[in-house]
Amino acid sequence: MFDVNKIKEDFPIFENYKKKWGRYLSYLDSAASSQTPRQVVLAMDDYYFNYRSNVHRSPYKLGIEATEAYESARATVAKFIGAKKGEIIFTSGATMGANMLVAMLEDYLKIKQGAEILASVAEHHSNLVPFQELALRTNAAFRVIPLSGTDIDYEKAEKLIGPKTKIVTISLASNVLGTIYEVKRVIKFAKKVGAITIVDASKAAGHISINVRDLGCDFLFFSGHKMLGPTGIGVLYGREELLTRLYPGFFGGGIVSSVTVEKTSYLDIPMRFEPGTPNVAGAIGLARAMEYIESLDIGAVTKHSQELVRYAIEKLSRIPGLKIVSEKDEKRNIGIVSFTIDGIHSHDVAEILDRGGVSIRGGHHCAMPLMKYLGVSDVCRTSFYVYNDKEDIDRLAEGIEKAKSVFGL
Amino acid sequence: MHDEELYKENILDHYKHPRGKRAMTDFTLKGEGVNASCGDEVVIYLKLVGDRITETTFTGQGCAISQAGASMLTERLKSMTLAGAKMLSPGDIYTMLGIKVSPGRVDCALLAYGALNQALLGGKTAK
Repeated sequence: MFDVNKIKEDFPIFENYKKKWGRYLSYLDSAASSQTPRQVVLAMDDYYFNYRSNVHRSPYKLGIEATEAYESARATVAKFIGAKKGEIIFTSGATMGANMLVAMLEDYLKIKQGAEILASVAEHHSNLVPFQELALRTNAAFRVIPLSGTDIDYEKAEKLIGPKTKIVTISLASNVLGTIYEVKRVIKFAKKVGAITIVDASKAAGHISINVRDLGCDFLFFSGHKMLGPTGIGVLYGREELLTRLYPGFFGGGIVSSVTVEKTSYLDIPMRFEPGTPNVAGAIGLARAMEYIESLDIGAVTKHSQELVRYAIEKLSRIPGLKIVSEKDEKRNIGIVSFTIDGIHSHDVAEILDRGGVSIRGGHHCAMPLMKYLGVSDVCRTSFYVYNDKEDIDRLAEGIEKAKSVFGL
Repeated sequence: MHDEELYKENILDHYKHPRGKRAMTDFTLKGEGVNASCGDEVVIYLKLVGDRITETTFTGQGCAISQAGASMLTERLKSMTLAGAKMLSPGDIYTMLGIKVSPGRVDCALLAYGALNQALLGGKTAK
């Protein structure tokens, strides 16, 4: 049994919010950033208070303990997504993962005029802009795979992917539509033409079970802060055979085997891609978040979100003037319900909901090409996670009615 | 704060019935404002005769605060001198809106003000 009330006790923010503002917190914006359980913060505290030091270089007890904790975090991450330890690179988040990848691939793929880079039109800016910029500076073509309803248009994707295609990057689940894409289909098309396949798992990690071998992708990245982990930590997975052939995209200490004034040689993977002192506490916190999610059972987490999506759609569909733009089949939805309300801008909706302790996001959700594609300027987005329940959705629906009455609708 | 305080009748009135909301072709100065976090936008057009603003209009789309703010600002600017318009401060905009603007909505409240400043700094001049 998925006990939300018990889970909530692990998240001090709910009690603290009540003390501070005198009302319940219905936090419905985990797709932007989730809350953090006590266990994660304690794991990081433990590092800071008991064995704080640098990793991979300090030959004393603290340094050894910190290195062990950091490398053990890497092993936890690897297990979480079905990868090998050497395939896990810690980053500062998904955005840095995408940028690092571009820096690593630019030289390897020798991208130039005539080459094509593909992304879906629904990508978050973090998985679109770095690749668009890569195309612009190499005179390659940047093309987008269109949607069909709330899903990728797989037929068009197959047609668009051809011999010129060098990179195909796509999210595992949309941060606005909530749709869990059949990325395996797209990866299959890309493999046929020998293109590099990249999966942005930012919205999916910690919500559904992920296995990189099953997906068959070359790279996959995500952030820690959307899956109960701390901010400033993320993961970039790279398939071992490919990763060993890549040159570092960023340079500095911690990644070298020898340096002369003429030349530098680099360490093996994954160290080669982690210059500078890493976010040690962040990695430890992220690994603890993964353990926390596993203790709840990822399958149960997925099911819980699906139930909330179904309930929210049922409840919100009854509100006149409200249009749901996200994926309506809860089985194919990662836990996001997005909508518009005739006559009220999403920021006004969010502001009025906030008065009732309901936190949602309005705006374009860092997906401006998608907004244009949908023919809207902004949408209200609610996203669900382990600490949400049906009462949150009831409060949401009440708040929307209130917003409508404030606006005389 | 109560909802009534933020979404005052006055603001909702300007939002639903914006004053001077149309593009101007024979403008003297034009300025644009975009709120990067939500995509809200406002374009302000000013027509000048000498130093005096004789007509102000705006176009745009966005939340009640940003659009009502633009509507109020166009009314306020009418028959002001250019020098007077340059003296307007963010504080004047808050006073004009008549609400307590939370940090999260400052960009909304000052969207039209930003467009005005761009216009006054030279902005885009009509051919």
